[in-house]
Amino acid sequence: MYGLVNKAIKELISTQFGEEQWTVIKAKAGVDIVEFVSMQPYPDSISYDLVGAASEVLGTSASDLLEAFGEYWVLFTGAEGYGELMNMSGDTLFEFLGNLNNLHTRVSLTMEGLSPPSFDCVDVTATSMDLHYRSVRAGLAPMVVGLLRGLAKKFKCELSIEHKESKADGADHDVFALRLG
Amino acid sequence: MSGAFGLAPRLFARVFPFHILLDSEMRVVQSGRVVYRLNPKLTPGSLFGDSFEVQRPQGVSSFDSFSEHRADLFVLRARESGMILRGGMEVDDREGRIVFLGEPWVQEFSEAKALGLSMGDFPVNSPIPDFLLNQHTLRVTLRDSTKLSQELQREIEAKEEYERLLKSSNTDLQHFARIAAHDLRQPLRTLTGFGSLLVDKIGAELDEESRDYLDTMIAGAARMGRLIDGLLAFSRVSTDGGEFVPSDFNTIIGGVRDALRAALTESEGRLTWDELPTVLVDPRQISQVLQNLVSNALKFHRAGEPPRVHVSVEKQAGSWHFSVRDNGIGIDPRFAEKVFVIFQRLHVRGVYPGEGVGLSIVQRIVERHEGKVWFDSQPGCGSTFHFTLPE
Repeated sequence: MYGLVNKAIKELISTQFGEEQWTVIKAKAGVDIVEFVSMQPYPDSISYDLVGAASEVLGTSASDLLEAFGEYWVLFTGAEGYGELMNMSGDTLFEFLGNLNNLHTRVSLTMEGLSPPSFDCVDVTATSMDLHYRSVRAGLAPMVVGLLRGLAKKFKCELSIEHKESKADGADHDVFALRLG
Repeated sequence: MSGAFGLAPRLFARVFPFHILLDSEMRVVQSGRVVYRLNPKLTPGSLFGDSFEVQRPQGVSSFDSFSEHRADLFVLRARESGMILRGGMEVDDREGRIVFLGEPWVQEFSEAKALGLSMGDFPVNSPIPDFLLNQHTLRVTLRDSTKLSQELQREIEAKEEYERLLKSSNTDLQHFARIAAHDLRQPLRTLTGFGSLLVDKIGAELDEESRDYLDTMIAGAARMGRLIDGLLAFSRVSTDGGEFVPSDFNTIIGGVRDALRAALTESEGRLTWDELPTVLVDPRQISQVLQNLVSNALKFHRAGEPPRVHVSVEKQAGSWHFSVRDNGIGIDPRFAEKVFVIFQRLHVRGVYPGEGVGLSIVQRIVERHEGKVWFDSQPGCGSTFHFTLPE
């Protein structure tokens, strides 16, 4: 994953649990990188190890932590200068989600070796849709739930999320039923 | 093939959301949905010049001049919004029409957003969003690089400050060593000298208790002299270190054996070693390391058992690992920290002589060579002192 993701993990832990906890978690994960560079690719194992160590140190389940991280990701990327890109990608949550695949495709062209997930909007109405999430990485569905919550806050809308199909339970991929209002 | 592929006007408008079609009088015939949304004066029949000015090529305003520059890159500026369009002019001489095909020229997402553009305004195949993303990526990378470079600069400055303090501290240490060598020694010499004179002059007349007091005083002064010598030797490891040169350890250990010949003979000890390498070191200091370790091994031998000391070496990744093994009295691992501290002794002075300086000098010299020193031992089972040196 790119350094941007690890930077976000660091920011989330440092701002919400303190700089010292981050130092402890980093040591526990065996990560000795002083500063992550946003556009540099790092092995996925670093991000997974950081989440695993954070879960252990903070006494929070990895699933809850990933959900919190997903929500934080929306704030973080906005603050890191990607806010305008997000603003340009849609005026409503559903418009944004509709543009998300193209956004990730463009990002993958710029960031060499990136394997971004895909998000397909199916059965879209004014107030509902099924979001089909596919990723080469395992176990990140809770992060998608957090991302959706973060985006709903950004677009100031009420959103209910139902995890209809789960890859962890044997489905081909994850499907989230979304309903506005 | 049944004919050439042509775009229906509606499809054309979708594919080229920023196009502007003009007639021979430079009036707008039609325009793309996005360029029209952002420039509402661009209505059919309106004069093109009311909405846009041509920045490049210069001096172009009429149909003929547009036609002459059909191969040029055009830069248009919207009079109201300030939006810049870049693109080319396709001229249909037969129909008397010109079509401008281009896209907005923006360099930041914020600039695009300020103009009222969104991602959906660009055709999927447009390179503009990718260009914006690339630009942003470069900016983020530059920001990260600048931040890292600033942190590196701070670390360099901190290191320079540390080196300055270290230099100052070394100067103080040298100054202290000079004081210890000369100024402290003089009163000690006076003390031991006059003490000896007293013994010579009135020693025979003194009772046993008074004579004991005098001997204790002279012995104390002599010990203080040895402590000063130890302190001086310890401080000189850093201040009087020599150059690192390729040094044959077989020669060094041979020299150590010669220097300790008397102690070896007296204790009936034996010093052996494996074939040793040539390493880049300060040979005088490394000789001191081996001499201190071997000398300790000879000193702390078990009663009735002659000391056996063996020096071996093992090559590791990027370093040499030396071991000095003996069959002596051993050391309780509880004293692992204490052993290398200056003036720390583990035994009663009367049983084993010494001031507790040797191992602290060993540690200091090995550290000066960027190596590590440690030991493993059990009481009664001998000791092995290990030290590493960079290859």
